[in-house]
Amino acid sequence: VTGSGPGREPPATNAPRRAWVEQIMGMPISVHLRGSSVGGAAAAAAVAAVFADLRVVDAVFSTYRADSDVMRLNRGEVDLAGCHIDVGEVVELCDLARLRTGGVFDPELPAPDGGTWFDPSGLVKGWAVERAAAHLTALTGPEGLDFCLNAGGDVIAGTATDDSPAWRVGIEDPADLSRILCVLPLRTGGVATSGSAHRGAHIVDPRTGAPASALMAATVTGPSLMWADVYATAAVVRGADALEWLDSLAGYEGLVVSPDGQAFATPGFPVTAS
Amino acid sequence: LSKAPGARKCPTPTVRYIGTFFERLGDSSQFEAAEGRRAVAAPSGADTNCRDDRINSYAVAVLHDEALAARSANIDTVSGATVTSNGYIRSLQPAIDAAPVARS
Repeated sequence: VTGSGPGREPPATNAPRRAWVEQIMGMPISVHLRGSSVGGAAAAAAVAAVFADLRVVDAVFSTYRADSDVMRLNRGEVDLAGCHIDVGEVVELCDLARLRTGGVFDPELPAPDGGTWFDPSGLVKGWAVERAAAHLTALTGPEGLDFCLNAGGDVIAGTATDDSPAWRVGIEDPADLSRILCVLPLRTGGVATSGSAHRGAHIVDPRTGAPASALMAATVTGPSLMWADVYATAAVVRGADALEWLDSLAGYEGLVVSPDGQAFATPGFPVTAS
Repeated sequence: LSKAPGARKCPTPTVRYIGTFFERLGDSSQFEAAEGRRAVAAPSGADTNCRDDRINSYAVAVLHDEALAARSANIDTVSGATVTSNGYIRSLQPAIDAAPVARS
């Protein structure tokens, strides 16, 4: 999943770096590039393409925009065939996510006015960010650039070579947002965290309709950011048996924080000492 | 990052007791007892030693007192529960996003 094992310090790098930040989909999106060509036209174009992709996704999927395809679908003004083609893909992925999480992930969520509606937000973010990151992956070979994309706390990274230093991803302490629990070294793949730290108890257990509160947070890392994100949300809903379940998922490792702030991780969860 | 010192090998490394552990969080007195982090109070019944060892060898406890002050940890980015644009300003990320610009 990630390059370094526990305790191995990534080598220091003095490579030039550059960061871009935009607010899209109601959250900060930051792109960090590392390498000699960070100031070049290819880098700038790829970063612009990432932001442009995410703006389109927001227009199609946002539940905060009355004119989005998803909201028109929810009001019955269009059917799936009348929506942007991405909506059909996301519906299929939501079905797969429901299956893979034993029903714990479910896009049929309580609507603000009662009843339920189709709200795929819990999957769309990871899916969209992972797809947009392909513009940055395209820079790793020809441009020799490392990238790290953070979308509202979910991270996807790639490096030009296996020798590139891992990005050091701090896992936020949900009990004290000014601190981090540990540092996860990441060369390629995703890290997603779900929980209630910033937005209150916004994760709903689709089986009961009640907010999930058995865990303060769950972090999952693995090859796909979208699945890491789905699994992290599902872990928070599962609560009691979250670690056991995360450990059963091939290719993914997880860390959970209990309501009193103690953190526990699956055996393969990669962390550096500091 | 720590493993249970001298954890016994238990027959089947089932991890069922993780579930038990978290379920027991509702009972605060039990949990206080468990806060020696290695010695999680096992429910009464047989197999107590194995139960503890399973918890310890399975869940790698990332202890709270090992939590790092972010400024000293030299991190590149922060993963946290969904940060909104409003929450961003209160998170650690803005300083990190600003730093590389200054360095390049």
